[in-house]
Amino acid sequence: MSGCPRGSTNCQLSLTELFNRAGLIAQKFQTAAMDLYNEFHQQYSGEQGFLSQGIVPCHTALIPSPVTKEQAQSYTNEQLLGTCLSILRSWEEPLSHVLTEARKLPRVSRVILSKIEDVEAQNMHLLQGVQKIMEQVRPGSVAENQAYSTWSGLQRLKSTSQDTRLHGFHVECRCVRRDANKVNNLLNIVKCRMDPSGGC
Amino acid sequence: MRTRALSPEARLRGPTGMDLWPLLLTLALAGSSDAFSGSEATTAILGRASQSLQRVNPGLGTNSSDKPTFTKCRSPELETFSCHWTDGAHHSIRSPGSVRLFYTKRITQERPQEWKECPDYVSAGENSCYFNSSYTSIWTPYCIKLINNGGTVDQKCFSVDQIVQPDPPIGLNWTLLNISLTGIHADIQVRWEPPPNADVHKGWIVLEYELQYKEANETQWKMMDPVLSTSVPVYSLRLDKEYEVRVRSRQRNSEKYGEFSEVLCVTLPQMSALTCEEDFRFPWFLIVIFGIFGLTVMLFVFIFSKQQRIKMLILPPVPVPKIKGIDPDLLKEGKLEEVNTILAIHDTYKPEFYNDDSWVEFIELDIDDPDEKTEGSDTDRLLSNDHQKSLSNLEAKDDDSGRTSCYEPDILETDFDASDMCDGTSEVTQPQRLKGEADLLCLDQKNQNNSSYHEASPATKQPSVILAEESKPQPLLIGGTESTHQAAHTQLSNPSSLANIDFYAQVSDITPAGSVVLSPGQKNKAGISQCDMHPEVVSLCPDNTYFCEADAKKCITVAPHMEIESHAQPSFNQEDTYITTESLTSSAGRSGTAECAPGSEMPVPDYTSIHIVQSPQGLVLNATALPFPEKEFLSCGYVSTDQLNKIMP
Repeated sequence: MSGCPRGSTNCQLSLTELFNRAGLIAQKFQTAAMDLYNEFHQQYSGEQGFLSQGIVPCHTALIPSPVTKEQAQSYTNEQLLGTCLSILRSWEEPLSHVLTEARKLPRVSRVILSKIEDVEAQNMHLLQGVQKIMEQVRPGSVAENQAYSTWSGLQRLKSTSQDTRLHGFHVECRCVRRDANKVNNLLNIVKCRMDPSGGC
Repeated sequence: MRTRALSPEARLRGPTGMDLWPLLLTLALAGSSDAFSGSEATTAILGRASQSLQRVNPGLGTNSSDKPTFTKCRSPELETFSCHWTDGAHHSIRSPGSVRLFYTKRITQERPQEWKECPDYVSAGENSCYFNSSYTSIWTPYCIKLINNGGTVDQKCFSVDQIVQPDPPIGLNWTLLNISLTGIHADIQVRWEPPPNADVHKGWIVLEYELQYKEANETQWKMMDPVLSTSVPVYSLRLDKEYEVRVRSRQRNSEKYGEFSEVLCVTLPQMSALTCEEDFRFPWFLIVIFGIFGLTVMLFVFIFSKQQRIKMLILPPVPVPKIKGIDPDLLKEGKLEEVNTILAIHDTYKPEFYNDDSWVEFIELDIDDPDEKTEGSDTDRLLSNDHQKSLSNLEAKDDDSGRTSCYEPDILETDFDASDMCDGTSEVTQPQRLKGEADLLCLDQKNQNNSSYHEASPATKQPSVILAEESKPQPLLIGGTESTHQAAHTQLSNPSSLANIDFYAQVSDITPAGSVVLSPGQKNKAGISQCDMHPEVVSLCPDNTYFCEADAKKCITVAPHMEIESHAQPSFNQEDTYITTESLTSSAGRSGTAECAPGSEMPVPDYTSIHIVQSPQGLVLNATALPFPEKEFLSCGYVSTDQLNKIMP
C-alpha cells in the first residue's frame, strides 16, 4: 500500500489509496462490532430477560440510508459517504457511554470492555478516514453539519433494573453491529464504483 | 412375535382410543400370522399396519413436536430472503396452508406494528415463505410469526444482513500450473465463478470462499484458508492420483457458509516413463538396522574386552554400601545372631525380634583388685587360650571397627565353645574400644579404667572395681530396665584368678537350670548377681552400684562379699549399651548367691554360675561353680537367644 513519504507535508494520498485504507478500517470496525455482540451474548446468555423486551429501533434508524441494493445504487457517492459519516458520527457519543456504563455491569469481563474500546477506536478511525475521502470527493462538504441522530439510550444503560440495563446493552451492541455492516457495505459500493478492478 | 419397533419419538396423540383399535388389531394379526405364515405375509401386514399408523399419526417419525416451528431463514444475496418451518403433526388433517406466517418491520417505535401476511408461500417450497426484493429491507429488523388456527405457535426476530448464506459457486475448473522436476508432483490453479445471484461486482455483497480437496479414494477433505478471490492455486498434487475439489462461499465477516459447489474431478496427466518411480523415502529402516548392529558390536567389544579400563569407563562398578562392623557374608548367610551381636555394639540397636523374656543382659564388671589380682596370670591364661576366636564370630572382616578384642575377622563360628574366651590381647585393647563403641564385652583386665557402669547409681566406689569412667554415661544394665532394648550380650570371659583382677569370667557352660557355669577359676568368686536396678534395693545395698532384683537380702547377707561384689557392679562401659555378665569376672567373692555385692576386698571367684536367668532385666548368678553344662556356650560375653532359651526353664 503506497503512502506518503516520511516528513512530507501536504501529501495527499490517492483516492484509491484512501478507499483501500478506509475499506480495511471498515472491515475491522465490522469485525469488532460482531465480536462485541457475540461476547456480550455469551457472557450474559443466562439472563434472557432482556431479550424478551422486544425489538427496539436503533437511534440511527432515521438517518436516510438505502435499504435495498436498488436504493443504494441510486445514491450518489457523496450521499453514500455522507450517510456513512452521519452514522459514524452518531456513534461517537453512545460508544463512550457504553464503555463507561459497561464498567458497572455485573461480572463484566475485561474482554467485553476491550472489545467496546476496540469498536470505539475503529469508529473514530473510520470517521476520520471517511472524512478525508469526503474532502477529496467534495471539498468543503465536511464542514457542513452532517445530520446525526441523537441518542436516547443512556437512560436504559443507567437503569436500576438489571434486565433493562442488559437490554440496553443488547440494543447498543446489536445496533452498532448493524451499522458497521451498513457502513462497510456502503463504502464498498463507492469503492467499486470508483475502482471496479480493485477486487469487485 | 415380530413387530416393528415404534420410533421412540412417536407419540400417539390427538386420535382417540377408537383410532387405535385398527392399529392394535393389525398388530395382533401380524403377530398371530407370524406363527402360521411365512415372512412375506407378515411383512405385508406390517406394512399395512405402519401405513395405518401413519394415517393416524401423520407426524410419526418425522416430527417430534406437534407444533410448527421455524427452522431457518436465509438470504442468499442480501436482496431476498425466505423462511422455512416444520410442519406440525396435524398438517394432513387440516387443509394445507393452515399454518400462516405474518411479518412486521420495526422501523420506528412510533409506528404501530402491523402484521402482514407472507407474500409468497410457494416459491421457496413447502412450508416456506419467500420475500422478494420488494419486501426485503436490509439493516431492518423483521419479526415473523407462525399462526396456526388462530394461535401463534412460533415467533422470531432478525435482520436480513445477519442471515446471509450465499449459493454455491459455479463454474469450477482447473488448470495445470507446473510439474515438479521429479515428475511426481504438480501444481494446479482452480477457478470458479461466484454464485450468479450475488452481486459482487457492484460491491453490494463481498464474498469469501473456501476450497476443499481430497484424493478420490479418501474420505477426509483438506481445507484451505478462506480467500476473497475466485481462484486459488493448489500445490503439490501427485500426478498418479485423482483428486476432487469443491468450493463454498460465505459473506465476508459472516459465520455461516453456504452450500458446497459441485465436486470437480481433477485428473492429472499421467507420469512419463522417464520419471522416477518412487519417492525418495528416507531409509529409516536401514539406519535403524545399522545402528542396532553397530551398537551391538560395540557392546560386545566392551563386555568381552580385557581392558579393564574401558570396562570401568563403560560399566563402572556400583559402590555397595558398607556397614561398619558387619560382614556382609553374615548377612548373606543369614546368621542373625552374629549380626545382632555386632549391631548391638551400636547404641541404637534394638533387637526386637529377640525373645525379650529370655534375653539376658549382662553386666560387665571390671574387677580392679590390685591386691589380689595378678595381672599376669589372667592375661597369660587368656593369651594362651585358643578359643578366643569365638569372639571373632561376631565381628568379621570389618576393618573399620577397630575392635580386635574378642573379634577376629574372617572367623565365623556359631558354636560357642565352652572354652572360648576372649583373647587376652584383645582384652587389653578392649577398654579403648569400649569407650568408643559399644562392644561385646570382653573385660579388659588391664584397663583399669574400664567403662563404669552408670545407671542411676553411684559410681563404683570400690577400689577393687575396675570401672572405666567414661564420659558418656550410658546405662549398661543388667536387668536394667532401660537396657531391655539393648542387646545384652553376655560376655563370659574367662575370669582370672581372684588374685588377678579378673575383669571377666568365662562362662564355660550353662546349666539347664539356668545357672551359668564358669570356667574354672582360681577362686570362688562371688556370684554376681545381675540384677535389676531397683531403688529399693539400692537402699538395701547402698554401696552397690547395681542392685539385686530379688535378692535384696542377699545384699545384706553377702555384705562381706559386697565389696568384692562391687565388682559385680556392673562395670559398664558407659558407652556400652549392653551388659555383659562381667560379673563373672568380677573377682567379687561371690559365693553363689545372686546378690548385689558391694565392692569388697574379698577375692572373688573367677566365675559365677548363673543362678537364675530372669527377665531380660536380670540374671542372678550363682557363685558356686557348677559342673559344666552342656555345650552351648557363650563366647566373649554374649548369649545367643537359642542358648538363653535353653537356659531358661
